[in-house]
Amino acid sequence: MRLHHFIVPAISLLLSGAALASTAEAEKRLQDAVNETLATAKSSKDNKSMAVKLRPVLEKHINFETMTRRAVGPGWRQFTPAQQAKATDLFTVLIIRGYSGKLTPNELPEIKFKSAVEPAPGRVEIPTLLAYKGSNYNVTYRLEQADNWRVSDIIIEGVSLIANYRSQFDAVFKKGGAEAVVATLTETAAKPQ
Amino acid sequence: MTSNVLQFLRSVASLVALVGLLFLSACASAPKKSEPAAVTDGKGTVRSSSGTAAAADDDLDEYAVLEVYDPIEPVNRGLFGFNHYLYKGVVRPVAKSYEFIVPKIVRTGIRNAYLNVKFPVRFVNNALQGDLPGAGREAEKFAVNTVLGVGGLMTPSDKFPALAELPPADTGQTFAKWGIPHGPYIVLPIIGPNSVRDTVGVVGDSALNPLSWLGFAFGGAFWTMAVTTPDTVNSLPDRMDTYDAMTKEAVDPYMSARTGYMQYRKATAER
Repeated sequence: MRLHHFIVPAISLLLSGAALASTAEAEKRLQDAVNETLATAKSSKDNKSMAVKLRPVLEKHINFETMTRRAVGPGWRQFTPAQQAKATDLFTVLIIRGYSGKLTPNELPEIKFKSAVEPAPGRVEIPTLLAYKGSNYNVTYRLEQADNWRVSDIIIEGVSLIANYRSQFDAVFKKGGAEAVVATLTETAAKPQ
Repeated sequence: MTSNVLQFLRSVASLVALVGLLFLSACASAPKKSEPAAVTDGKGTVRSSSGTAAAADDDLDEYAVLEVYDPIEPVNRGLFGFNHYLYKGVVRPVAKSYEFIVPKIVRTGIRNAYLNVKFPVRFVNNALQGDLPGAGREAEKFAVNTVLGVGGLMTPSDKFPALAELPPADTGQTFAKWGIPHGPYIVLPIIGPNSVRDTVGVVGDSALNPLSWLGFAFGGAFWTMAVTTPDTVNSLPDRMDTYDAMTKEAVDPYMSARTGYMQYRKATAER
């Protein structure tokens, strides 16, 4: 038996093993994130305190910096570091509020994980079926590995959270640049709930 | 009764012809970009050689801006604003009271039953899309739920993995699979985001809905309204939830709803 007869399958086996390991790692990570988030939501009195309590938990599992940067797009390079920090902070507020606004402490969703796919090294997409208040939703979590696996986008029934904000920010940026994006974020975050 | 059926068929035919004309003219004038561009590059390429994608800023074009053909944007924005106040002042209070009065189990039963009755919409569209196995599964699901699920009130089909999660099928989706573009994006009064293609699709869905047949067989539009209104009211809480999810934390609610609608329909067409 020639050497490459052995080496080629060995390498592909190793590679698929590595792929399996990373999807398993990402799945475990998302499972932990979901459990921790739901436990925090359950222990909250109302939606307002839930948003406050969820922030440190979600910041651990969601990469808000990547989300904000990609939602803004190439215009991000024209933001000053202070504007970038401010935009990230405000965008984080909106995402968390959107998330906690949908949950009620006494009625939490049930989440069924389906098999994950790895579209590229360092990226895993995990489709789930979320049952909430008698309806089912297809929710896909996109995770990326930097230091750790963290969520970089959430796609609900085919609607990507980040793609949706990308269209909104693009129009604002074209009109008034970084300043206008920060201003519109400030205004939205200040809206009474 | 026969005359009513004829009258029904005639009105459907003229409506389809009318909207079809509108549609063709829209298609003729629509630029090529009317189909939304891909949201991501789809490859999910890791752009940073060091593997720390978060630190680099060469992933800024990860999401393309969704191009939507919206030639009457000012009119659409006006209608969107009108709908917003209508939802706030009328629809949401109705939805909230309905949710409060009617127990969840009843609401789920009503939704299941209506979904079951509308089986021909999914059956015919699966067939028109060339998905005969899909049509077959819809037929099986309909049989199981009608017989074992007390006329569709319950969904015992969920117990069968092959029938548990069938993808949605509607006429607008069939048009999309046939390669017909959206045409202009339109905001319909009361109903909300739509496109010319999908509006024609809704006419098709309604023609395939047995409740429309029943209504027209018994005397016309009033009866159709009478039999379909509970379905509409029953779906209001869900619709308001979707609307809130799309608009509540948006920096531009109009743009968010437009992009969300187009992404959703694209995903439906790709199923």
